[in-house]
Formats: sequence, C-alpha cells, structure tokens
Amino acid sequence: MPKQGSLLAYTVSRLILALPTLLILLTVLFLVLRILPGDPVSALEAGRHRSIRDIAADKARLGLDQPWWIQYPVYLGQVFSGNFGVSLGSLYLGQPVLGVIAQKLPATIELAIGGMIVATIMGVGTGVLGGANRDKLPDVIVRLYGGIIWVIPVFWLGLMLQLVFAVGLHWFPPNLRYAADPVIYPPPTHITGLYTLDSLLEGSLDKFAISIDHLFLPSLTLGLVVSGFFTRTVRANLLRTINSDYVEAARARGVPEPFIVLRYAFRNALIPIVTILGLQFAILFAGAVLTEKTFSWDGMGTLLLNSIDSRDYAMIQGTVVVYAFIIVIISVIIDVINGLIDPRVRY
Amino acid sequence: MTGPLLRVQDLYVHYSTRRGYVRALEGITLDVYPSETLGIVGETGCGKSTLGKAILGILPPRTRVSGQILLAGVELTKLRREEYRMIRGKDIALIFQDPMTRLNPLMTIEDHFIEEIQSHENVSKNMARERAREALVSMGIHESRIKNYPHEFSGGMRQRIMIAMALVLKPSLLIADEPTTSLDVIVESQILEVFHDLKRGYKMSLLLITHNMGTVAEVCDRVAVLYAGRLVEIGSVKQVFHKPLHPYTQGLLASIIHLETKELHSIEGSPPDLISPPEGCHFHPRCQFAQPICVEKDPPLEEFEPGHFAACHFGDKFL
Repeated sequence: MPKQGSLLAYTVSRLILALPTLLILLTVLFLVLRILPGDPVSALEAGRHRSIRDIAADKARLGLDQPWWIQYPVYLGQVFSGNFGVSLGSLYLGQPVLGVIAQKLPATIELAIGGMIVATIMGVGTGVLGGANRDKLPDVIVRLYGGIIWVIPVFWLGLMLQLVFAVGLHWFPPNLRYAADPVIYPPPTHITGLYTLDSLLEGSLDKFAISIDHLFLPSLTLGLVVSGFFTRTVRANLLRTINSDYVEAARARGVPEPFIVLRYAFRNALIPIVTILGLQFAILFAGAVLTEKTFSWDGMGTLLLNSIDSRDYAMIQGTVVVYAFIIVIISVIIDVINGLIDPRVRY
Repeated sequence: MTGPLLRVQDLYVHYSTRRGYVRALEGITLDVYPSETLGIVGETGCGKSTLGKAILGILPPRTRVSGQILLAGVELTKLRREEYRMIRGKDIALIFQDPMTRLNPLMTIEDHFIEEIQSHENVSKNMARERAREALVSMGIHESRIKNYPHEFSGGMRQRIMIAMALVLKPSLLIADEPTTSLDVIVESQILEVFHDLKRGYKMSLLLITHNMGTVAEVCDRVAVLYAGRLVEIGSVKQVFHKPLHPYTQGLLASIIHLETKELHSIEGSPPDLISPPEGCHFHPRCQFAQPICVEKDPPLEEFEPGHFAACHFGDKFL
C-alpha cells in the first residue's frame, strides 16, 4: 500500500471511487433508454407492415422480450466487454457500433481539445486581466465580454465566423476536417485518428498545417462560447484570493508583487477553477454537437444526431455510453490535477 | 534617551467605502524607542490594526493616508514602491491576529521561509533553508516538520511559525497585532513568554496591539490608548495604570474582572460610527463626566506629567 497522502495513493483511490460513479451512470442510461416509449424494433418496423410474428422474432433476436432483470446484467456484461452490438440504422446498418464510434471519436476529441485550448487561453487571460484591475476599464470590458459571449448561440457564432474568415477573407476553410487535393495531400495515415497528431507522426508539416487550418474555426467557435463562463469563474476566484489573509500577510513580509499574484492569488484561485474547467470540458463534448453540425465536422455529435434521426437505438446507446466513460475519465483527471495543486485534498 | 526608532506624526487614515470615508485614524502621533515595548490598546474597531498596516504601507488601495511615518529618520510614505517593499519583513515585521489563515495553504513552511529570505537578501536556497531551520527550532518547532504544509499544524504552532518568520530577518521593529487573541489561554501564555524572551534576547522594539490590559501590564513598557481613531492617552504602564487621566482609560481599567468582588464594570454605550463621528471629544456621548465644552471643543493631547499625555479637557482633575 503506498504511503497515505502520496499522490499515487490518492490517484488509486480516485480511480476506485470512479467505478460506482460509472455504474450509476450506466444504470441511468439503461433505464432511460428502456423506460422511454417505443423500442428499437417497433421504431424500425414503423410503416413497413410486417407480421406480428416477424416483429416478435426481431425482438427475441435483440433480447428485448426478456424482463429487465435479465436484460440489465446482459447489458452491463456487453458494455464492459466492449460489445455494443451492430447498428440498426440505415446509415451504418450491420456495422459494429463500437467500430463506427472509434472512427468518429478522434474528430470530436480533437475538436473538444481545440475548443478547450481556446477557452482556457481566452478565459484565463481575460479573467486575470479583469481580476487584477478590479473596477477599472479592462475589468469593465472583461465583464461585458464574459456576459455577452456566453449567451451567443454556438451555431450563430459559427456561421458568423465562417462568413467573415472563410467566405469573406478566405483565411480558413469553411467546413470539414480535411479538404485538400487527395493526390498531393491525402489525409494522414490513421494512427490515433487525430489528424493533427497523425500528420506530425507521419512527419508532414504540410498536412499538419491543413489539419490545423480546418480545426481553427470550429475550435474558436466552441472555445469562445465556453470561455465566457471561464472568464467569470477566473475573475471571481482571483478576486477572492487576492483579498485573502495570506496575500496580506505575504505583502507584510515584503514578498514581491508578481510572486504574490502568481504563487498566492493565482495558484489558490486555480483549485476551484480546475474543477469547473474540467466539468466544462465534459460538457464541451456534448456542446460540440452543434458545432459539428455547423462545420460539417464528422464526429460523435454528427453520429449521435444521425442515429437519433434513423432511430438507431444500438448506436445511440453506444454513443451515450462512450460519453459516460469520457466524463468519468475526465473527472478522475480533474481530481488528480487538484491533488497535484492542493496538498490538502490528497488525504 | 536616544531618538525614537519609529515616529508617527499626525497620521490620518480614511478608508473608502460605499457609504463614505471611514475615519479609522485621526491624527495619531506617537514614538517608539529602540528596544522598547509599546502597547496599543482599545476596543475592536478603534483603529489599532489600521495603525499597524499603515506603518507597513499595506492598506487597501484607494485608502486616503496623510501624515508622516519615520523609521530611523527615513520617511516611509515618501519611499518608492520597491524601497518600501524592502523595508517590509526586513526592518519592520508584522504578526497577525489569526495564524490559521495567514499562510499560503499550497506552500510548505520551508517555501514560506525561503521566499521571504530571498525576497530581501541575495542568499542561496541552502543558506535560507538553514536559517529557516534555526528560526523554527528557536520557536520550539521540530526541524523535521519544515517540509509540512500549514494545515498540518495547530493554531499555536502556526503562530509560533509566524513569529519565527517575522524574526528570521532580525527586524528592528516588530508589530504584533493581537497575536494571542485567537489562541487558547495556555498557548497565549506560551506566546507571551516568547515575547519576554525576545525583549531580553534581541534588541528589538515591539509594538504590541491588544485589547487585553493584562497583557499590557505584563509585557509593555509604555502604553497608548486609542479611542475611535484618536490617541486619547499615552504614558508609561505605571503612569497609565495608576493614574489613568482619560475617562475612557479609566473605564477600560475598570472593565477588568476583580477576583475579590467578582464584579465586572463595563463602559455604557458603544463606540461611534467612524463615518460620521460625534463633534468635539469623540468619547463624550459615553463619558460620565461630560461637560458642554466636551461637545464643542476637541481636546488636544496634553502632557499632564512628564511623559504622560492625555486628550481630555479635565485631565488635570484626575491627576
């Protein structure tokens, strides 16, 4: 057993605690998908006039004729063995759900990370600017920014950015993940599925530039909308710590002001900020749905929308379960980062 | 007697608030001599803590400050920002009332010490660490605990750490702002013992801000009494305790519980609102001896016997 209070012990305990969280999430998903009216088979059969016997046969094939206490353990077993069944929708009919998701997931991860980088730079930058200049002009502008940017609808901002930077100025491509001459610049070989990373692994800076070009506007859209919330969080927390007793005491000891802002105010403000930023990152995955639609970004969001359209229950369930896993993983990462910053939470 | 180490002259401090300016200090003049302990007493909100922060120049922004603060002849309020910073911690150190919240929870004790020493002196990390160790041990904290975080110490230990930090650069003036108020009585007596040792060991001046008259009698050479932002009486502990000239001081001394009678006097009423203080003597609404002149005229600080000053129109009546 590692020493109590060590980062390793803390991380292990967080991982163990994540399991019940995951189980609860999966159970809720199971219930929601089954309690809702309608079921995959009747949704598929709608308007196809097939015999009741055929329908019953389909239900039996999918295990839907079983009571929930039989279905539930089967469902859990499938989830943990990575078997999500095959697609029932017209788009990917018969293809394994997990295979399709594996194709789409990297695009969304790339977009979410891009959005997160934009949101962090903008949010922390403006938040610190406002917090350090309380009630002066920069702070007023920052507060205005934080308030306005986060009520702007994602798709509207996306359209405006497309209009200005793609259609008007031609600085960036208007949509898609990778649009270039397939002979000269074919998409990078699939290694991780992240185009930016893959092109670097391949050693092609040109392909990297193309990937970044395409990634820029969607990331900016997603990041800017989320950054308003970051701005307000960072500013409020910085104001709280900059007026704290330990900051006053550090001033009394003659600690230089830059150290006070960095080591005292900012580091302490970071603790709640990391938690909130992490949770936002999880929400960002979901928020990417609209951004993906706006930029024809072929990721999980688009997949989810298409699956809902074609009533592809297997795919919907697979997608949502993957989202649940991502959220749980992110929250573990947040906990570990907080443990790194704050010695008090390691116990 | 040699010249004073610290001279505060006509110090005004007005805090800016939404309701208007709070007149926290109104024309304070006092001296602190080398290796002397001066007690500053008064009720909560009389400006005691403000005085300590004003001397260090760490009042919040937009606070109006006027008057002179001289340390060994140097006018502090005229110093440039960086010069003033070098004085803080090095020449004047401040110990706060609440040790629980005064340390950065994310830094070890060692980090605090090294940061402070390196903020003022060009020494290596190892040298700084060595001095930190010595300072801690001298305050009775085991050196093995130097890498611990603040939350791993008790309140009394943290206050001893704060004192060790205040002393590590050997300042000529130590300001202790109610250093024992938030601690239990046993720890309090330990801390007071530390101050006794300090007076003997270091040649350091101590400005002890407190509301505890017992502490003053035990530790201080001279005592200054503050009421509603004004200095109402100052003199040697003997003079002030035996012959209090200001009715407020008399009231304070009467408020100490008597062992024989178990009686506890208190001063009627409460301190005035410092945004709009009363005319004339600020104490007149609560003073049992108040006369018409007390409402009209603000009494100046007068010397009634050598070294014993009071701001009362009738000070000579109490001699």
